[in-house]
Amino acid sequence: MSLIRSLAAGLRSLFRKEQVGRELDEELTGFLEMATEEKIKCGMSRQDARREVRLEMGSLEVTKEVVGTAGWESFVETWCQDLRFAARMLRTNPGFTTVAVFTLALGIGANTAIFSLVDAILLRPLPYKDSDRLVQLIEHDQKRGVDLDWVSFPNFRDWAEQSKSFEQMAAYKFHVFNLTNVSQAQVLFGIKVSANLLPALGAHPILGRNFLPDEDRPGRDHEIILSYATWRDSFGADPQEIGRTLTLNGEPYTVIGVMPPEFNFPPTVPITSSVPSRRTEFLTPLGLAFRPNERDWNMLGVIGRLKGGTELAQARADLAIIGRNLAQQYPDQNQQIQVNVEPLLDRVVGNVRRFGFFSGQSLWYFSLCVQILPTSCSHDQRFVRKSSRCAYPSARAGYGCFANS
Amino acid sequence: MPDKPGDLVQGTLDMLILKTVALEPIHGYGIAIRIEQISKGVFKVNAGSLFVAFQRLQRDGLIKSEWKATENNRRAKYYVITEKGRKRLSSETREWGKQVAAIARILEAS
Repeated sequence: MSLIRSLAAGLRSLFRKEQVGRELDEELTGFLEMATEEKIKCGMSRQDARREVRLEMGSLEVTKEVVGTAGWESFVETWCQDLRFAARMLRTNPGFTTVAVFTLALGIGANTAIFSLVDAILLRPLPYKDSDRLVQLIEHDQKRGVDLDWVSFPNFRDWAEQSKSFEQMAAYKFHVFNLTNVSQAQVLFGIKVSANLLPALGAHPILGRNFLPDEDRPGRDHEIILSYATWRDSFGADPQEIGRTLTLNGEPYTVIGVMPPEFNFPPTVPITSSVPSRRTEFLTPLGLAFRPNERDWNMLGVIGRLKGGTELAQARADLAIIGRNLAQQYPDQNQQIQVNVEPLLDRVVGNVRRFGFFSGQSLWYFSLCVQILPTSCSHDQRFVRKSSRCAYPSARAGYGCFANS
Repeated sequence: MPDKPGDLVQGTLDMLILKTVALEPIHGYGIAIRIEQISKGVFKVNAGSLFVAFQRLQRDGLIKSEWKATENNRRAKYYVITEKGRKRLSSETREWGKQVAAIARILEAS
């Protein structure tokens, strides 16, 4: 209630400034005269009384100023004055205006660009359920001193069977399909996945279903889940598409599902919004046959979802033991091979650091750009100081133009 | 606390104005004089702070004002206490009494 009243009173003094000013004037003058009369009654001459009262009260103008600037509306008024003054200065100095606008535009632009990049790759969590529990499993070849991002199928299967730290351990590999039984043949880029990859990510198709464990076997692997964009762009977002048969690389595949629009795997980082990274267009089962002697055929990306409450260090210790056992069991192929467990986010961001547009310097660029805006501001400020040496406001004050007039 | 005589204890001006206005509708100068007289010259209210306080109290809805003629036939703005102002005065008076008593107890402690 009192807020509304204060608002109304403030607006009144803003828009009916003259009347409010007159009233205050009259009230203050009245105050002054009554005080003078009181002194005259006590036997002072009119002139002396006036002088005395003025000494006691101080300047009427100052009092008016104090009362006038006590309410919130005086901030609005000062602000408007500053704005008008700024506009005036800009108009009288077009050269400065151009430079100021340009430097500010540059500063703001660079900051926005870099921040959206840093936000996308460093600050935002991965778009999966409880993504902090997602890890990538890689091998480290001690002999050559390199990380191997891809893992052989037999090793993956042994890890998945023997480890105790994971709710799910899933694998994927990139795959390309030629789609031919449509009006215009088309190339689709996607991934082959183990049947538990989507559950491991906590993702579900919005239409249809996920792969059954049974469908992830050689000969039974002719199902396909489409990405939302592919379903929309190539199949007209037709719900009847579920159950249809597509000819992919000359073989029949049944469409069993469509993923949500935001789903993408492996997670990639858009370098700029105008050049989006390639998104996965389909998922199909791995359907790999187990050949125990293919331990050095590294072709699978392996991710895992840690069990709730399991620390990364526990999973690392768990996998280290399994890795050592496998190295002893299969010295020909697994000797010198260590197993590493890394948070999935680190792997994604690390990829950008290593291979990305900024080749590992995005943070450095960011800190550089963060400095641009203050620099351009201070640059402008220096100009302002230089160009306002005419001491315009002081001159106004000198002529007796008060802040409120 | 005041160093030189004439300063008000911070935050008490509103209470004093409310009390003065509660006695009868009264104009700005009357309020200044009455506070000075009743306090026997201990408090001298500066016109600037007085009018700022009027504005504040009016905006809080504790007093309202109207233009009337004085006994000397001069136009003056008379301030009148509102119901809300009365309530505030009584609660502030109670609070003040409590505080004064508490401070006195502390100062008299030996």
